This record gives sequence, structure tokens and C-alpha cells, in this order.
Amino acid sequence: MAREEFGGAAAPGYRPGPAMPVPAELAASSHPVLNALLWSAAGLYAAAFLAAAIRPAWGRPVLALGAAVHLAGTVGRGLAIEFFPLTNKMESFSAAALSLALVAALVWRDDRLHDLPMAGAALAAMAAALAFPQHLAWPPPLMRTVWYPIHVPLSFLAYAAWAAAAAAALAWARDRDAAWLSRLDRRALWGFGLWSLSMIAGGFWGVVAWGAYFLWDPKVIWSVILWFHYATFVHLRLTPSLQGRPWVRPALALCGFAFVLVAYVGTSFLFGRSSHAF
Amino acid sequence: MPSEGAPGPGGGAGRARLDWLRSQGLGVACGLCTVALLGVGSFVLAFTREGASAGVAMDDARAFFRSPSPVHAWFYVLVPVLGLYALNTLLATWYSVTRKWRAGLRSPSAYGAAVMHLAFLVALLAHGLGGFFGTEQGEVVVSRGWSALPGGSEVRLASLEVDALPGGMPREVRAAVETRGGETGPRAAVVGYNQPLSAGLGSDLWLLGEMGRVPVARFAAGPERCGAAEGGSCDLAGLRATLRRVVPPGAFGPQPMAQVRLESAGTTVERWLPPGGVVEMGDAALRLEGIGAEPAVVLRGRHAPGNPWALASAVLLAAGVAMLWRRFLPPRREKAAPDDDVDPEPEAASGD
Ligand code: HEM
Repeated sequence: MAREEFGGAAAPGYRPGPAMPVPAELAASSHPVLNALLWSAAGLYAAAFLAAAIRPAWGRPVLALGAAVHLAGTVGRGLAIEFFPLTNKMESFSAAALSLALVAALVWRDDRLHDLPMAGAALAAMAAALAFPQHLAWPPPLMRTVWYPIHVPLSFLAYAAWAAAAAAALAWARDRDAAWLSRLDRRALWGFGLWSLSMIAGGFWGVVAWGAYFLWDPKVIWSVILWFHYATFVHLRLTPSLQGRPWVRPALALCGFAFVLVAYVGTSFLFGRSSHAF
Repeated sequence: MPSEGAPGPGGGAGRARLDWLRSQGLGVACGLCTVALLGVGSFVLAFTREGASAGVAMDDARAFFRSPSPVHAWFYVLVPVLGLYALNTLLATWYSVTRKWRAGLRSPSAYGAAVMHLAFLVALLAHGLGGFFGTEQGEVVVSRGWSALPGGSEVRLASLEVDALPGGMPREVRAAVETRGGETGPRAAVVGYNQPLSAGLGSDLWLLGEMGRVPVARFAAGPERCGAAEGGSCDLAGLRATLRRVVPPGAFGPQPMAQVRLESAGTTVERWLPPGGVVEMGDAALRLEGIGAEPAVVLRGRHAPGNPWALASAVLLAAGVAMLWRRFLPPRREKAAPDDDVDPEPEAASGD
């Protein structure tokens, strides 16, 4: 570590320019083995998607294998950059795909209408990831905090739990079975619990990085919107006037997933600039 | 669970109003309104950033009232909606907690929701305090010598360590600073990325901005020595020396020049000095030993009175989630929970 004490010989000062320099060694490298793991995971997700369409019972092990390969690739990227491997859009979509795949494998029910959208969501996120270059890059210094690797996995697992709630809503719409409502409620509550913890970690990070846990910024506002939407959601089950209207929860679970899409991808495209833009 | 709309056993219009105010239906309505209003607000803010929302920065809420605009109707409606939401939550929580307590329920999981509600109320308070009473404290260049901070304290840089990655991007910055004066008194701390200088549980923060080198003057008076960066000051031989400005060689002649202000017991003298120049003041003679460039950091100050309350809210929220752990489990095991009286619907078995 370069140490500058006063009175000594003039050490070269560091002044960050407007754009952080991309470290030469890493920018050029796009590790062939790590890339192969990501592409294999994508292939397995595609196979799971096909299985969900043709023979759902085969889908779960394929998806779980894909998630395991994906996890290995992700851990490898983390070891290469010596940090939590989520430093650009590629890695963000990849982590979203991994969370969706893990949760999909967990809630898989051998039911086409329920499993196909979950496998499809994981596949779509993975395809989005692989549309970007798979270069490795060092994280910028502001990402180097313990709050970041807590905040992001919790958020992505919450997104995936809410995707699973929306999948249960689709299945309920088909056969009106109360068991789907019960799953839907629990998944929405899981998402809400994970999201609450994620907001805590994000808030701590905001305070140490910007001095504020809240900003009038699209991504932060939409995070609060998601929190209120699902906080409201967990009360629907307890609301007397809604007892005779079982469709309300499935409808709001689907609406909630649309909000997830706005919060996750929409804030990068609909609003111009955001504190969370890569 | 609170009843909705129907008057309670006490009867009467007042009672009916109270029942309505604490009803779950009103809470759901407030929640959905909050979602809709914030959704509208997110677009309004994005599309009027150069216009009606130009003054909205960080977490400030005053900007919406300073120059009121019809496009911010969403915010003017949001404030009373959140007020009603808070009142509804408070009343519902009070009703539910007192009822459960009287019924003899002592299991912490029965009170998880109440703790979450409290977290929400404290978070609203934090937003109010931060939004209406927070202030930006500007930027201070901190280097050798003492730089004044708002509030009467002073800060100086003791050392600066930069751990750079191959390619030059910093991995870690450790700016060791010392403070004195003000409410906190003398203190040594390290400032870095994601590591501000903090006081009062985060209500006063100094965050690392830029790093670089700044002009610094070194002074001597007899055996005493001190240094000050441009804009900063230092004390020696009973004097306070402030380096007002440095001009590079060429402007006033072949040598760089420093504009120096000396203060002692109510008298002030200001002079332009070249390196080696001397100013006399009372019994003391101050010599400008040299002008150089030394490491410095820029600290950005914020007074954020909502932060300690947000911290309290975070603790409550995490505790609430933990206390509700049973509700996250599939219903088979949940049925064993005698205190779970919140579920009016029979839950079908599920194998998730
Ligand atoms: C504004 C109106 C609100 C009302 C009237 C309300 C009322 C209630 C009631 C009566 C319960 C169940 C009774 C109990 O266990 O004490 C409950 C549960 C709950 N509330 Fe609220 N609440 C409101 C707002 C919120 C907010 C803003 C949050 C977000 C932190 C929240 C989070 C929860 C959670 C997580 C549960 C447990 C849900 C479950 O067990 O499935 N509530 N609420």
C-alpha cells in the first residue's frame, strides 16, 4: 500500500478522472473456462425450459444441474476479481438468472403452467447476460463494502420469490385450487422478508457511500414501491372485505412481478439516469 | 385481526370511526395509494429533472414546497396518505397487541408483525427528519494543517494510504484524519470509500470525495513549525496562520507567492509572501519556509438527522422478520403454532 506521510519526498498523488481506468490485465481477459461454465449453464436452462414444455418431471434435475454449473462459474469469477462478482450488467443479469434458477428448482411442481414461466425467466435473464461481453473487471472502490454482497443476493432472491408467487398466480387462474393461493402467499411473504433485509443492507450502504439511505432516484423509489406493494399484499389475506374475492391476490402477484421488472430492468431504460446504473 | 367497517361492541358513531381508522381495508387502500403515487412520482421526477424537479436532490423533501409545482401533486397527496397510513398502522397495532396480550399470548412470534409496524412508523419519522431537516455541509479540502468544519470543529490529514490495483484503480483508501474542537473533541479516525467520518450515529457525516494534491505552505516561528493547505490554517507561537491562496511562479514574478493571514489576540495581518518571506507580529516573527504540493482529500459533509432513526428502524425491521420466522414455513408445521390467529383462511396443504 502506498503511504503518503507529510514532509517526506513527494509521492505521486492520485486523482481519479471522470472515468475510472479499466485495469489492463483484467479488461483483456475473458476467461475461457469461466465462459464455458456460463454458456453450459445457459444450455442447461434451455434444456430445462424444453423439458418443462414437454415433460415437466425431467426439468427439475436439469435446472438444478444448470444452477450448480452456473454457481461454479460465478464463484470462479469472484475468485478472479477477488470480490463479489457483480460489477457490470452481464454479471447482474447472470446473478438474476442464477437466483431464478435456484428458486425455480426449489418450487418446481412438475406442472407446465407453473414451471415453464419460471424456467423461461431464468433462461431469458441468462440470455440477456450473455448478450453482453463476459470480460472480467475489478469492482470500483465504492462497491467494496460488506453491504454490497449482502444487499444484492437478498434482492435477487426476493425477485425470484416474487416471480415464483406470480407463477403460482398463473396456476391458480387455471384450476382455482386454494393450495396455489397458500403457496402464493408464502412466496410473497418470503420475498417481502428478503426484500426488507435487502433494503436494510442497501440503506447501510447508502449511508456510508452517499450519506443517505434514501434518494429521490428511480431505482430507490421503485425499491420502496416494491416494499409497499408486498407489505400491502401480505395483509390481503387478513382483510375481511376481500374474503370473497380470491382473485385479488393472484392479480396483485402478477402486478407485483410487473413492478419487479420495472424496478430491475425498467429503471435502467425508462428513466434516463439512476444511481444504480452500471 | 381488526374488524373492518362494522362498529365495535361499544356502538356509536365515534366507535365506528375508530374501527374504520384502524381497519385492514383502510391500510390496504393506503398501501395501494402509496404505491401508485410513488410510481407516478418516479416518472415525474425523471421527466422534470431539468425543470420543476431541478431542486430535488438526495433525500430532500423541502424542495417540493420551496417552489411548488402542479407536477408534484403526487407528493402533496402522498404526505397526507402516509399520515393516514401511519395512524391506521398505529391503531391497528395497538388493538392487535393489547388483544393478544390480554388473551395471554407471550410467544415472540405473535408480536413479529407489531415490530414490523413499529419499524415502518420509525422509518416514516426518519424520512420526515431527513427530508425536512437535513442539510448539505459543503466540501472541505483536508490536508496538512487544520481545516475548519461547520459546527466549530477542525480536521487535518495525518496520512493518506492508497492501495491501487494493477492499472491504477484504487482498491482501498485510508485517510487518517484528526479532529479537534466542536462537540466531539479530539479524535483520530480513518476515512475511506464507504467509511465516512461519522458522529451522532450517522447524523453528521463527512464522506470521502476526491483525492489529490493541494498547495501547502510550511511556516516556522522560532523552533515551532506547522503547515497549512490552501484555505486551511495552523497554530504556532501563539499565532494562527491561514494560507488564503497560492499563486504559481510567473504570476507575480519568478517565485510562487502565498497570501497569508496571521491572527493573534484580536489583531489580523494579511501579506503576500514568497518562500523565505517573513512577517512580524507582536513579539513573534513568522517565516514562510516553503510552498509545495501535498496529499489532500476532499470531504463532503452532510447533516442527516434521519439516519439514527433509520438505524433504529432497520434494527426493528430485522427483528420483526426474525420474529415472524414461523410464518415462512409451510402450513403443515405452522398448524402447530397456537398463537397464529392472524389467518382467517383455511390453508390447504402444500409441498413447497
Ligand atoms: C397501514 C396499515 C397496516 C395495518 C392496518 C396493518 C395491520 C396488520 C395486522 C392486523 C396484521 C396481523 C395481526 C398481527 O399479527 O399483529 C398485520 C400483519 C403484518 N404486517 Fe401489517 N399493517 C399495516 C401496515 C404494514 C406495513 C407498512 C408493513 C411493513 C413493514 C406491515 C407488515 C406486516 C407483516 C410482515 C405482517 C405479518 C403478515 C403475515 O403474518 O403473513 N404492515 N398487519
